[in-house]
Amino acid sequence: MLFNSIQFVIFLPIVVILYFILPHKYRVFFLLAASYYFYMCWKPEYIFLIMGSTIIDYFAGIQIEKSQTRKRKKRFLILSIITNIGILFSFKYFNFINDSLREVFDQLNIFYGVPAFRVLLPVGISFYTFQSLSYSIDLYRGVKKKAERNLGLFALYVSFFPQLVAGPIERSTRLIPQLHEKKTLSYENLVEGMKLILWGMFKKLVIADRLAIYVNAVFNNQAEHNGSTLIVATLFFTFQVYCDFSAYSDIAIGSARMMGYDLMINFRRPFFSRSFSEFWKRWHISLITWFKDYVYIPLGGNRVSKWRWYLNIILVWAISGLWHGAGWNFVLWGTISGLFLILAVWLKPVRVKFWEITKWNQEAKLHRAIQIMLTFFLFYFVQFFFRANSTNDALQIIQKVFSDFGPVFVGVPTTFIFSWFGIILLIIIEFCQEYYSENIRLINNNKIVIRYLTYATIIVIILMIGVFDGSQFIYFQF
Amino acid sequence: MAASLSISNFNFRKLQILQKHIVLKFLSKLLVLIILVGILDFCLGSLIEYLYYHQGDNVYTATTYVINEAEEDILIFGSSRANHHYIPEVLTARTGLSCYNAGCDGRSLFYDYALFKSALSREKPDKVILDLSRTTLYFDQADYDRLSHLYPYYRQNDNVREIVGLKGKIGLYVRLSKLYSYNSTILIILKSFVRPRTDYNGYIPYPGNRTMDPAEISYDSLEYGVYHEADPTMRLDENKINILASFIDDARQAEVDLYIIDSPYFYMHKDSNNISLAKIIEVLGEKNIRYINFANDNVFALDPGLFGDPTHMNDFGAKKFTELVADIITMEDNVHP
Repeated sequence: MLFNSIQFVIFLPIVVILYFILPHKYRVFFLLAASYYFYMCWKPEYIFLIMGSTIIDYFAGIQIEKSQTRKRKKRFLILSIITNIGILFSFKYFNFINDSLREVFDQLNIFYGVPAFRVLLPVGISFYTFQSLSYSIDLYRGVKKKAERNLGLFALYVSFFPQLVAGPIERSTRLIPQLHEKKTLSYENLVEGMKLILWGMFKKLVIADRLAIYVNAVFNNQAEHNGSTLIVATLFFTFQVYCDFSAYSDIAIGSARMMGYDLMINFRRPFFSRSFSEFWKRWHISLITWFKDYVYIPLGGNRVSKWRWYLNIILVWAISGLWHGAGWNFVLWGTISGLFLILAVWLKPVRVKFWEITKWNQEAKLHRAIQIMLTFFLFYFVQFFFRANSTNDALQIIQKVFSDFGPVFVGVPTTFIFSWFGIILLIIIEFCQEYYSENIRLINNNKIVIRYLTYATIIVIILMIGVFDGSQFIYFQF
Repeated sequence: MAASLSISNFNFRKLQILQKHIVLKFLSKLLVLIILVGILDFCLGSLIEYLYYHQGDNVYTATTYVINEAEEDILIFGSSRANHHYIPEVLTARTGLSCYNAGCDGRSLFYDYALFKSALSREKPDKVILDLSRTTLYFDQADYDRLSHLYPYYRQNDNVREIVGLKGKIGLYVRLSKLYSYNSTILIILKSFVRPRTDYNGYIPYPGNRTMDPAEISYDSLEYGVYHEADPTMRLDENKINILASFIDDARQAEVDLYIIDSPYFYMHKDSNNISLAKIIEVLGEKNIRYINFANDNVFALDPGLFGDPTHMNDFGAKKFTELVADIITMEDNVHP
């Protein structure tokens, strides 16, 4: 079920109403049934994958807690890791690795006969497997002391519908205690939840899906377009992917908030970051912190030799790229992002020296603006790899960008104009939120008239120029 | 024991009252918001509706004209290829019948059928030309998405409602919101007041009346005489097949002479994999109607002077082609007066 569908508009209020009508002891099972229904609207048989992962992690979790020796605990942790990574590998990475091996063997003129595994990628597989995995690792590490004994509640932790298919990837230490709590109906939660849903719908329908029309028209036929057009299309894609994904997160957080659950913030206006490392502290926060806690720190983090640290960064980012998609272009996307982070570390002494010599005011508005634009540019550059259909395509696009100039393809003029309108509006709103959140308040204004007019204006803009074709969220494919 | 029970009962009642209070507060404020949005939707929607039906000439006024007013003897339906390939003035000069070109950029058989049925329910044309590309019957999501062009007529026109219904539940939004009926139209409406389009009874010559640039020609395709061999993985759209059959049946029932034509392309086509073309021929065969096929016609194909791009003829090509079509119509009129 898509958040931007009529189905969901009917589904959510029914779930919220029934949730609060039911006695506390039945709520977990009701939410679990609602979550499974939510997922099964897409492809019913894949619910068994979630159930399988849930049962094994539930069992492994109890055994990890009960085990007296480290060795035995490890055995059950490995069981959990193999189960989740195994599911992920079979459905997401098998064909990628198989095809890569086939290409290598073809180059060597050796017959390679392993057939492809033609199956549809289960929606949200990367999200729920990571969420489930974090539970077992936390128990093994002792971050979480007690394994969950209530199977229904644990199943709900794995499959809680607002964040099941595209996050935020929650931690057991945050979500499980909340699932135990008895939630009472709160006016503030209902209103705050609906505000987030409304803002998410605006970003998805007015900005992301409008940009998608132009972006898809260009990238589906990229050979026909010049470098100038590809520059604009990639710029649009950069905003599209942000609006699309942050919209999903907002709707997820808002839906959960209505029932009293507090999911973690996933985006904090990343386009106003002043460095590339700050950017990744504001973008897809739940995933980046997951990689930090469960991959980067176990590898030694920055408490190792300098070169090992650099290697850790590259490794974590390459894996993060692979998490996003089973393709070498995603691996390159991650690796280049990692390289940019290392480059920032290398260049820090040079920057500091330059600021000292020139007595540059680092808090000056101009300095901040330059930092923000440079950070944006770095992220924009890696999007060439993220959006392209393959590494070859990405390299061809970059080559064109530097060599093939010409008039920019406009396509349908209204789409082009509405796209720019959406981007400019987003920048203005986020600029105000970033720097003037105390002074300029619309949706959170104390005066009811301003607040209601803001809500109504957002809805009117959605109705006037929103794109209602029920397109999927980009991160579903991950 | 009794005391604790009464306290818990009291708390429970208090909680119930509190929750009832929250629900009432929330619902009352939600109602205020819904009323506010409803008022804005009605006012702004009515304003755009007024502008929509009083705008300068553009693609929407052409649609409105065919749905609400057209009384010409010959009506031409189809996509941009119909719009740029058939010149009503030429047809009128040769046949003596009035003519309007209702072809529209990027539209599909769904759009054609909605317009045809609307025109038919009002005033029966003598003849209808349907420009039907050989790939028309393939499924293409864009054909459904572009039905939004018809939303402004959804509330008052049964034929439009039937066709838009193929898109799923989207009609619910159109019914609920007046503003949504005019979704994304405002810029085009405003532009029409500043710079209305120029057409000739619906016909628009290929922009700039350009001829094909030799640099655009794929000589590999010329050498093999092949361009766009149909993709065997593409699937047919059952809705389109049914609409094509209904189009023919309705025309026949109304005793309208129907000409189904595939107008020329620059490149020759190889059709061995084209299941859409095979289906068109099958449906037309069953209905005993001729498919007048100019797709691989030597008079037009491979002549860059007649084309603006590989799929659209320029004004020279359109004139030459329309004369041929007019001759076919006149000839058939002579055979079956």
